[in-house]
Amino acid sequence: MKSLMTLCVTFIVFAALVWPVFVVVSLLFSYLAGEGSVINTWYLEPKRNLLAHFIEGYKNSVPVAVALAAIPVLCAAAPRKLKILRLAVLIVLPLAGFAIANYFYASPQSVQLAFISSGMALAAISLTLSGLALRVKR
Amino acid sequence: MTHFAPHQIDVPAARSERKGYRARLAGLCFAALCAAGLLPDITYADNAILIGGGYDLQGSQGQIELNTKWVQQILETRGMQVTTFYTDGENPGLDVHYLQPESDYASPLEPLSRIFDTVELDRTNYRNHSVERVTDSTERSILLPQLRDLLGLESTNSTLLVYNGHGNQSLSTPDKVTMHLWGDTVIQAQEVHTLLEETSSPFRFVMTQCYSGGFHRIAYDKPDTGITLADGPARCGFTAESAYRLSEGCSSSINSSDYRDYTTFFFAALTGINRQGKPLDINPDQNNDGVTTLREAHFYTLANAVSTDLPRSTSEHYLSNWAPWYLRWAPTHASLPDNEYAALFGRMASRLSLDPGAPQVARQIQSSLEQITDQRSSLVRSYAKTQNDIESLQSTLQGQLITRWPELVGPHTTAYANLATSGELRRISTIAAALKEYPTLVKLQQQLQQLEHNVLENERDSTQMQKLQRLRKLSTLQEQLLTHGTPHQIDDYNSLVSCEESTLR
Repeated sequence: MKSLMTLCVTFIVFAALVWPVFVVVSLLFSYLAGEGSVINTWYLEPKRNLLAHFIEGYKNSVPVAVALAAIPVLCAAAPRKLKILRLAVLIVLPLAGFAIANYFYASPQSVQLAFISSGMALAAISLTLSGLALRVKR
Repeated sequence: MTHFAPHQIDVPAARSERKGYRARLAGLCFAALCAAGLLPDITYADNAILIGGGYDLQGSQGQIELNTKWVQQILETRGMQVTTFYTDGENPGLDVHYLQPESDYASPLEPLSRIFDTVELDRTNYRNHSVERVTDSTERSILLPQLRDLLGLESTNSTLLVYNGHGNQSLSTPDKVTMHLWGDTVIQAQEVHTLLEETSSPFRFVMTQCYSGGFHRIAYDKPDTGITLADGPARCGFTAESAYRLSEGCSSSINSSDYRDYTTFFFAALTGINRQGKPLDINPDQNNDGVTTLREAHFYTLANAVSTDLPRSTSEHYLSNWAPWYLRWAPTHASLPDNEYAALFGRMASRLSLDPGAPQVARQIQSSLEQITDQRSSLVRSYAKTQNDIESLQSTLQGQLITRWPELVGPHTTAYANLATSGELRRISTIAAALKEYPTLVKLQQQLQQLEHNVLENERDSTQMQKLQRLRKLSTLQEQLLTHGTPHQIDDYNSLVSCEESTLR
């Protein structure tokens, strides 16, 4: 029961973090390149517009976030003997990012790196969540 | 004291008539060429509604008047039917204020103005407007019904609305931005949208007021939200700014060579001649088809106006609005696609001594912008300090004068009037100029003026960088629309572009 609860919490927290992580990573890439529409919007439009666009993205990305959140939950639910599977997120999530970029974008080259990096960041978050879950179990 | 002479900028009637004849002849020739298929098929605006002026005397600057007169002359010369609304209409009351040129200013009371007020206040003069053929006032209760008639069902001709004046921001949706009209009244963008629902004739606009970008919402089905365009012929326009920023162009100066506002560049591009009557150095007719469209005039202004304005067209507004959630936050290509905005970016970057093809150009632009912003902070700090120093010195000098002449405390009293009529005020002014601290005050006030100018120049530099960023963004968005947009969205965008590609007669 307790482990099911832990998996549910992991699922929800992870799903909730997918969009913000993607936004932060993309902003970082945009900032480093000196490019990106958000930089313009930040200076030229009220912050409420940015917030509205962020929330719009949050809502629309829910199906993707839910699908991605299943990955760390499945890995965390792996039997103890297959502990190594917990580390699979380090490969699966960046690959998922790569796949999303290629599937949804007409010219994926510009976004691939941001999606793969977001996958890596999410994998790190997933491992942290698993670590926390293990502590709770003990 | 030299007063502003309206005849200096008016076009004499005879000359105007000759120009009108030439324009009609040119129009006939043009029509013949079009009919013969020698010139491209271009749409024209038949009627023009010209609205100008401030919301009260203090808000009705000389630049607005000069812009209105200049635009009126251009539109009439092209043979358009122009209906002009200006401040209080034909009421002979004062409705324009202007700054006497510095070179002409010599007031015996200048020292007192410097100590008790500002020299600008002493240089400010007031008069009735000199705009000719004014149909009526811009006051809401007068203008709105007339706009309804002009734009209403009976009108089948294409209309161009040009507004030169002030505007107010909307803290809710952009369609609530306003034209701030005479008598402190307003007309909101959504009200113009409502007026246009009753007509099926093409409508275009050029608006240069602060927050004018909110008026792009009149092109849409719902003025407050969404990207579905209104039914019927596309409505499109050009604004000096977005719905969130102030625009340049409300100076009290009557020296038009100082003007860098959107109107000045846009209409110069349409005519090929600048405010001083000289041909433009750069040809605004990008495709060299012999006709400068409104869109080409907008591009010319975008690339060449060094002002604080970041202008936009309705099709550009559409692109920014269209950007879907999954593209809005995603990083973009370092290299730009091959389109008109990329070309415009290239030209503008080169003018600003940047290599448009350099891989790090976006980073360079961002760095320059940050550098300019830092400079502005320093300038603003100096400005505030100088202003404080001036106030403190003024207070000291005022104290010294009031101790000797207590009548100076109340400039609206009989005692003060006696000082003025007896000539004593002039004598006091001479004594004030001889006070030990006075030269420092003059120096500080001149410094403040220079700092004000520097801040403005800094903002203009900053806007050039923001323009470059925006052009890159538009270039990418235009490409993204073609690859990610639905056929209907692409059609909508194309209809706006086509609407913008019209010209004056």
